[in-house]
Amino acid sequence: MRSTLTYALKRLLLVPFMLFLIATLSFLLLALIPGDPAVLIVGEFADQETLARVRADLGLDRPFWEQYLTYLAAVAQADLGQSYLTGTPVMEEIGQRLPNSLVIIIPSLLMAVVVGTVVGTAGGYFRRGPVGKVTSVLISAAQGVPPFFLAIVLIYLLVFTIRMFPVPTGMLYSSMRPPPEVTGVVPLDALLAGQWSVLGAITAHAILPVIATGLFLASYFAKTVRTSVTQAMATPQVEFARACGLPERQVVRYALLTARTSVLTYTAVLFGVMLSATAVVEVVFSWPGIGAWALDGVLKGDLPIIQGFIVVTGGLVIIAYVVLDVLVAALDPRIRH
Amino acid sequence: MTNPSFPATSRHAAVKLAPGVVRRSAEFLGKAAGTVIGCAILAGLILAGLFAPLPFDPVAPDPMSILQAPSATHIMGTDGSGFDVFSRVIDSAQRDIPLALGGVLVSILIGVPLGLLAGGRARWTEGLMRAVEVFQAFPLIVLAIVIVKVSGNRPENVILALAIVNVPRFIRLVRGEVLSIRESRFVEAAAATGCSPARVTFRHILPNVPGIILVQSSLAAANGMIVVATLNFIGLGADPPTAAWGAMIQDGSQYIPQGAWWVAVFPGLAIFVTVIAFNLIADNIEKILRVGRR
Repeated sequence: MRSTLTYALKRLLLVPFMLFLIATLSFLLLALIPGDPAVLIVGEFADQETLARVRADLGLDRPFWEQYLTYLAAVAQADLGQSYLTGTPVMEEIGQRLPNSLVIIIPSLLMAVVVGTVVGTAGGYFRRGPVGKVTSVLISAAQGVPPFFLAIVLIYLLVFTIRMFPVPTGMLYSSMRPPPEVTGVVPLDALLAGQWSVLGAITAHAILPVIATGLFLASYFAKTVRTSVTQAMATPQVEFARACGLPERQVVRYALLTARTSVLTYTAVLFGVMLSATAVVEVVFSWPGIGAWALDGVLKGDLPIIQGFIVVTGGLVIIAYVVLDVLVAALDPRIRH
Repeated sequence: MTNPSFPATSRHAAVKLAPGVVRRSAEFLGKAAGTVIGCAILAGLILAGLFAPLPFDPVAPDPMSILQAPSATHIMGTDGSGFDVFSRVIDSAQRDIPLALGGVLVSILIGVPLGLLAGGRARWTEGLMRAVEVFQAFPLIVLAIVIVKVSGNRPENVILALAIVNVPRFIRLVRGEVLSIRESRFVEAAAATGCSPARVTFRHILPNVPGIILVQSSLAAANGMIVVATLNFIGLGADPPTAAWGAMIQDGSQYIPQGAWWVAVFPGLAIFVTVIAFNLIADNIEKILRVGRR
């Protein structure tokens, strides 16, 4: 237990440093981007005076390192600036949109983990039999369908052909009034106001995007699980468990225990992938999430939005990695030493 | 049977071996067949895109036949501008697939040497791996989008974007493989006989890495295909009216409510077939390697 704590502390101490690196990288990257933000804000036909004033307001006339330090100081205070185009604070927008994205990300991550573990374990255990062949075909097939394409096919079949799901225009029905604003986060507000019909509408609208992203990720997850289960089944300890005459169910359980480290690692990696992978699916379903918003920002060249998105998602991923590393160390004594 | 001094034994062995040899060669051929089929699909698609006579000009719309369902004239139908979907699906192959391959090639050229270096014993390799970790924490797909958006819809920019997405995993993979090979007996023996670290790395470790790189490249190409399609889908990487699968799906999505599924579905199927072909290659190379190692 002590060694786990020391390990956790060591990893935690690295977090601020890694966050600093992320902020620096995102600043450098976007500072290299050509184009004048001032033109973006006041338009191409503004006179020189206005442009100069806007540049001064943004601090763009100051030397590079000064801009960098100002940026770092602001990020350290959780101030990510304002959108060039709408003027809304980036942090506020992220606060409202991130929960909407999580409504899709968390269930599809769960779906990927559950489906992936079941399919992958079956595939690894029955590697040589027909079950193994079928799972490997299924995994290959699922990997070949980009989430946005699956989304469109699902919309065609289930929304417009058999009309089982609502038309993909955001989280609510167009006739529905949003819940009274308390936190600005629609699902949370609905919960606070006790409006179950709104929550139901959100669920109905979320099912298809969850399937579209979840299935794609499940295929990658299944592949990882299959590899680690196959490896685990070949270890001496599984042989020993069998030699002891344990029932096969027990043997598989032990094999999964060995495989869980890589499975956990992959879950964290997937979480990172999903934060940006949902973006396109959010666009297809007009879902008011953080990914669709960031994508829009990228296409319009709205720098603070891109920077803010990179810093926040990068930070979340780093925290997820640290939590994961500590968890793995707690489960697997070999890592700690 | 090459050794004349033990005719009886060797004949005996030959008889006993034969079924095993036959079975194993058949197995090997079966696995090689998967790889060959995968390569044939990809080569077929690219060559068809380059040389096959298309029924219609992929960039010349026919305003008289808009949004027609698949028929004998237009076997995959036409889209909202009157383009022939089949001609455009085939025409895209020679641009989309080489992009994915090019992205992988650049990732290998950058990732493999870095991975070999990171597999060394020097202190700084730990730092490099931390840097890779930070880099991987980046929303890489968004980064790829930013790069193409900023530097323009040119093929080399798409390839650069793909490389950025894939380099970290090649570094990690090669490093992992190098570290595990480093533990094996023959590396120990090489070091014991006085080989320099460079010689150990290049003569003894490097030759054992290509197999896993080959498998990973094929997987990375499959993933690269999806990234290219995603870029095209959000309107980057190909200028209209140039055909690209992802862009065709995006264009087709607006006709979905009217029930015109063919505009989006056929390019989607093309992506599907391509990714499956890449996966087929990867899976079968992996199996061949496993047989070789046993």
